[in-house]
Amino acid sequence: MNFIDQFFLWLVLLPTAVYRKLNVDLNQLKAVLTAKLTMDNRRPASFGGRNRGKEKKEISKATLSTMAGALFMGLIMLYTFGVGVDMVTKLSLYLSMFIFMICITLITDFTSVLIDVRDNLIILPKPISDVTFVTARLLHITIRTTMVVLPMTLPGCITAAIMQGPAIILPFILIILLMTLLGIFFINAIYILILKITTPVKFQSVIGSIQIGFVILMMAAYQLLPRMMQSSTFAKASITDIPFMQFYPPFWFADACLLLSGKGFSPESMMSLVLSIIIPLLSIWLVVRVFAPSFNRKLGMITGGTSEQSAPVKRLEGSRKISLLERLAGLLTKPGAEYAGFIFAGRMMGRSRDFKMKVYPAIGYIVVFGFMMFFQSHSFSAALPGSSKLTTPLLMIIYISSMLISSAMLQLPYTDKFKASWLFFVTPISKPGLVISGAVKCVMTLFFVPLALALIVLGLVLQGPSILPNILLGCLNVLVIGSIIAYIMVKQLPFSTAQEGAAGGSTFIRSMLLLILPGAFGLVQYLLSGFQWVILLLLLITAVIPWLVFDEIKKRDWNQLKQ
Amino acid sequence: MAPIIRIQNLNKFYGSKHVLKNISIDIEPGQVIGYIGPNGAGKSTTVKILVGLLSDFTGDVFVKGIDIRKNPLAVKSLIGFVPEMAELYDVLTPNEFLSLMGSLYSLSQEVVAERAGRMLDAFGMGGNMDQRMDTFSKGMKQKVLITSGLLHNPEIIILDEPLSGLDANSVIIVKELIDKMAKSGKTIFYCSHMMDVVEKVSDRIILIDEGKVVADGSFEELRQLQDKDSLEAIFAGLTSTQSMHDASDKLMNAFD
Repeated sequence: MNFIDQFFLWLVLLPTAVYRKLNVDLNQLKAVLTAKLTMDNRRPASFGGRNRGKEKKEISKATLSTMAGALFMGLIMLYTFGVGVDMVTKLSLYLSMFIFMICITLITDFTSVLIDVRDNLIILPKPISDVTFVTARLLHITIRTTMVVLPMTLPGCITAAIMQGPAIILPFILIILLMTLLGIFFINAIYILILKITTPVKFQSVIGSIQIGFVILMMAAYQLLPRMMQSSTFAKASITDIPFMQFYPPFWFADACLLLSGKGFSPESMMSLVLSIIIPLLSIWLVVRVFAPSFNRKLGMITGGTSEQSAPVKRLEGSRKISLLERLAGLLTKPGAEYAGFIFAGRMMGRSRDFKMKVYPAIGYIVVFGFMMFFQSHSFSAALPGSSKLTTPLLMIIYISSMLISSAMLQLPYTDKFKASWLFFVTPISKPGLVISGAVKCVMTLFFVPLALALIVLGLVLQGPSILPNILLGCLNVLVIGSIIAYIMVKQLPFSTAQEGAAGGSTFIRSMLLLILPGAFGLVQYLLSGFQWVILLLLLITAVIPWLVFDEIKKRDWNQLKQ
Repeated sequence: MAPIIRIQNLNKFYGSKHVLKNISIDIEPGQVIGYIGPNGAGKSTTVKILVGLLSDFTGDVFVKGIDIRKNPLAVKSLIGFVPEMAELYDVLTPNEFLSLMGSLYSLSQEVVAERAGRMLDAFGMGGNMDQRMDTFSKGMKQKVLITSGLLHNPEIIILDEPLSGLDANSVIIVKELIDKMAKSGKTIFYCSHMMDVVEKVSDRIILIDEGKVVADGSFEELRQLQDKDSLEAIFAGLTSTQSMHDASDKLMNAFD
C-alpha cells in the first residue's frame, strides 16, 4: 500500500460508530480492505519472476495517467460554468456532468472491483457477514473512485471559489462526496437488481450487454444536455424556470451547495439540502441492509454455476468450415505468427468479458454521437465553401470513432488469464511484433472497417461521388492514427498481461485523452476539406503511412516488449 | 551417441538468490527422464530455461547441438511443452486453441485440424472440440494441453505434472503414451511430485535439491545406492533434513 491508500484507509475507518450500528465487524472490514488495496497496487509477477524482489511502493504510472485523464475531463467540464444566468444553473449542469462521468467510470472500469469472482473462493467461505462484506466492497470502490474524483473536481472547485468566494469550497467538497456515494450506490443497486432478475449463471453475459445499453442511454442524455444549452434561450435562462426541476438530483445538490455557502436561502433550498443528505444515506442503508444479503448468496453462485456444462456434441465429419475471421486473416496477414495473432485477437475480443466491459461501451458512445451528428447536420451551415454540408458531420463521426480503436488498443494486452500467454513464449515466434501486428490489424478490421464502409455507402447515397475523397481521407487518417497509437501504446503481446490493478485501469478516461490526436488530424482536414486537389494529394500520401508503421510494429523484437 | 540435451554448469540467480547451482546433465535421445525434487528445488526454473522462457542464466544449454541462447527459435521448434497448472485461454474452444498453437508452430491449418481431431478423439473428447473450455473440468483442460504439446510432433517432450486432474483411465493412456513415444525415439523430460508414476515411467531419475543434482541414475541404481525400497523413501532420505513424523507432529502441536 502506498501512502495515499493508507491515508484513505484510515479515513474511511474513522466512523466506527456507524459501522457498529450497521453490525459491521470492524476487524474483518479492515482486513479485507487492507488486502484489497494492497492487491490493487501489485502486478502479479510475469514469467520467470522478473518482478521478484522488487516491491513496488511508489504509485504506478497507470494511476498517474488515469489521474491526469481525470484532470483533463475536469477542465473540459468547466464549460458548464459559462452557461445559464445564475449559479444554480451552472452548478446543476456541472454536477450533472460529474455524476455522469462517475457512473460511466464505475461501469466501465470498476465493475471488476464490484464483482470480483475470486471473492467467492477466498472470502465468502469464511465466517464473514454479508453486511461486513458489502461494506468492505463499497468502501474499497469508494477509495478507488476518489482517486478519480479528486483531480476531476479540482478545476471545478477552484472555478466555483473564484466565482462565489472561498465560502463555497467546503460545501462543494461535501456535495461532491455525497454525489460520489450516490453514484456508487446507484450502480451497485442496479447490479443487485440485475442479479435478482436473472440467474447468477447468466449474470456475467447479461451484465455485459446491460452495461453497454446503460452506457448508450447515459451517452444519449449526455449529448442532449449540451444541445439544450446551445439553444440561445437556454444560454440566458435559469434551471429554476424548468418545471419539475426539483425532481432532478443534480439540482438539489447544486441548490444545497449554494445554501451551505450562505447564498440563496429559501424553503425550497432547505428541501434540497435535506434531500441531498438523505438520499445518499438512504441508498447506503438500502444497499447494505436490504440488498446485500441476497446479493452475496447469488454472487456465490456465479462461479459455482459451472454445472451447466454442455454435453458433447457429435462432431461433423467432412470439410472444415472456414469462418469470416479466417478469411479476413488470410487476406490481411502473412501466414504464421501474424495470422495467428489476428485470429486469436479476433476471437478473444469477442469473448473476453474483461475486454468487452472496457471497450464495448465506446461503441455506444459512437452510435449515439453518430445519430446526433446526423440529425444535427442541418446546423452545420458553417461548412467551408467548396465542401458539402454532409462532409463535416460524417468526418466528425469518422474521427470520433478512432476513440473506439484506441480504447481497444489500450485494452488489447490485458486479461485475467494472462498466465495463459506462456504459449507465445514456448513456440518458435521469431518476432513478437508479428503477433502484435496481426492483433492490431484485427482491431482495426473489426472496430473500424464496418463503420467506414457504412459511412462511405451513406455518403455515396446522400451526396454522390464528390464526397468520396474527403471520406476516404478521413478513414485513412483514422488508420494512421490507429497504427500510431498501436506503435506507441501496444508494447505487449495481446491478452498477455495482468491489468495493473484497479488502481490504474481507467481505459475510458485514458482513451479520451488520446482523442487529442484525432482532434488535430480532424481539424486540419476540416480546414482543407474544400480543396479537392489537396485532399486527393493527401490521400495518396496517407495511404502509405499505415503500411510503414505496421512494418515497424512487425520488427518489434522480444527484448523490446514491455515487461 | 551425442546427447540430445546437454546442460553444462548451469547457474541461475533470482536477484541474489542462487536457484540453480552448477547443474550439468547429458540426456540421450529416447530416454525418459524423471526430474524430481522438493518444492523450491529449482525444477521449474530448469524447465523454464529448457523451453526458452528464461534466458538470463550462465552456463550452456544445447539442444540437439543447438545453443539455446544463440538460436532459441530452432530449439523451441524441437520441443513440445505441457505446462503445469492448466492455464489456458478458456474462452476459446479446443479447436481454436489448437489451431492457434499450430499456427505458431507454422503447421498448416489442415494438418492441425486433422491431428487435433484424432488426438482429442483418442482422449474421448472428440465431441467437445467446438465447445468453449471455460466449462471444462481440470482433466479435460489437461488433455487439451497435452494435445497442444504433441501437436507439432516434437522430438523432445517436456511434461510438468502432466497427470494432474486426469482420471484413472486417462492416466493409464498417458503413461502408455510416454512409453510408446520413448520407444519411437522421442526424449521425454518428466517433472512430477508423484513418485510412484516417476518410478514406473522413467529410465533415469534425476533428483535435485537446493539447486544441485543430488542423485542421478535408474531407479534400480538409486535403490541399491540408498538401500531403500521405494522412490518415495529414496527421495525422503536424500532431501529431508528432519523426519516427516517430526514435521507432522510439529504441525499438530501448533494448535497448543
